[in-house]
Amino acid sequence: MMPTPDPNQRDLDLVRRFQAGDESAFDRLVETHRRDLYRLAYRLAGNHADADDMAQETFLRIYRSLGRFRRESSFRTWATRILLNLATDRRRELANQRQSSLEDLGPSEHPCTPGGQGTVLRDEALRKAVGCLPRRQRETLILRVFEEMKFHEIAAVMGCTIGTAKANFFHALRRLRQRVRG
Amino acid sequence: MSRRCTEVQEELAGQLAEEVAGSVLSARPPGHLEECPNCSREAERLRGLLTSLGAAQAPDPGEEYWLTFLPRLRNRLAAEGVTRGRRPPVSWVWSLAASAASFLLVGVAVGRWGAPAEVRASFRLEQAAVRSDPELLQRALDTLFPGSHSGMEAAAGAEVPTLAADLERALDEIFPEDEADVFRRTRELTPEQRHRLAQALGADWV
Repeated sequence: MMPTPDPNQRDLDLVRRFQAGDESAFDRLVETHRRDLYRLAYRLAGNHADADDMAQETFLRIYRSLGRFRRESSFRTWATRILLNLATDRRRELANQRQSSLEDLGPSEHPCTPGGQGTVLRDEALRKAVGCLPRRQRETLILRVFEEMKFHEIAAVMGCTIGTAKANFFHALRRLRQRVRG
Repeated sequence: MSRRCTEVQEELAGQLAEEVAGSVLSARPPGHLEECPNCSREAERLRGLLTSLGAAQAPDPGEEYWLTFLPRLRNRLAAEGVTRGRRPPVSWVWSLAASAASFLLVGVAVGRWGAPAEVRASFRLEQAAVRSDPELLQRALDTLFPGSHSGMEAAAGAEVPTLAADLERALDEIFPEDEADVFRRTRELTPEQRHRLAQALGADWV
């Protein structure tokens, strides 16, 4: 019976092949990771159009940098880090663009205004509540709960200690609890 | 809320941070958490929150979308002229160092730095470049771009990489896009950067 190939090792073999000039190895990496990266992008962006654009842009950045990838972390960790960096860039651009229009909104129209007491927790309300968390907390929560990453993987992705990742997760949960307290 | 409640709820959050709710909480021996209505309610709320979070799905855009994903990506790569990033070849790295050295010497020649110590430092840089000394080049890069290497690994508590690895990483980060950028970056060194480079080399190479 053939042993099950280790996904991480399989990815690194593909990276090695790409670095040696095999273009098709990049296609294999895309096919392997496109769903995960799209899903994470959707969690971060909240809609299909932006998620699609971010997923495509992430692979463009991967293609540009893959020749220099040192294979010291898993490909998944590295790709996730690229996506998070991209998301941060996008969020910053968006914040700049929207600053003036947000200032025009009344308090009840603010997207982060919590729902009323006893509101049923629906996907949309939850998504909005997650979206209103501070960036590091939000990303940690998404990586842990939705991507089911271990804390050491989250620490590697986010460039922080394991303790910081856990603390971010804890604070994210507490903050969410306060927001949806019924 | 009693002091015991505070402790238990802090501990509860710690357990949730260790692993997601269910198994850890249910595996816990009975105690205050089970006996205290406030704490058990808080545990239930947090468990419910995590369950709700886990159940909220990102919709799948459908098979047609996935069929076109790679072709669209390939089209973008071609349309935007994206090229594969490559690690700079070693000979090219040293030619960069030589370029930087020449640049320094030109600066000295036009009288930007008149101090004899800096003149000596710039000559030492040139010598190092000619001798292909990675240690010196590493120091020069660190001086020019402090904190540009291994920041993430250091923050994550990882082992400090070797000098050679550091050098490659610094080059990757300083010159991320393509070879043309190197010469642009070299030309863009500010007088302050050049000064710091010369100072660092002078201190280490006397």
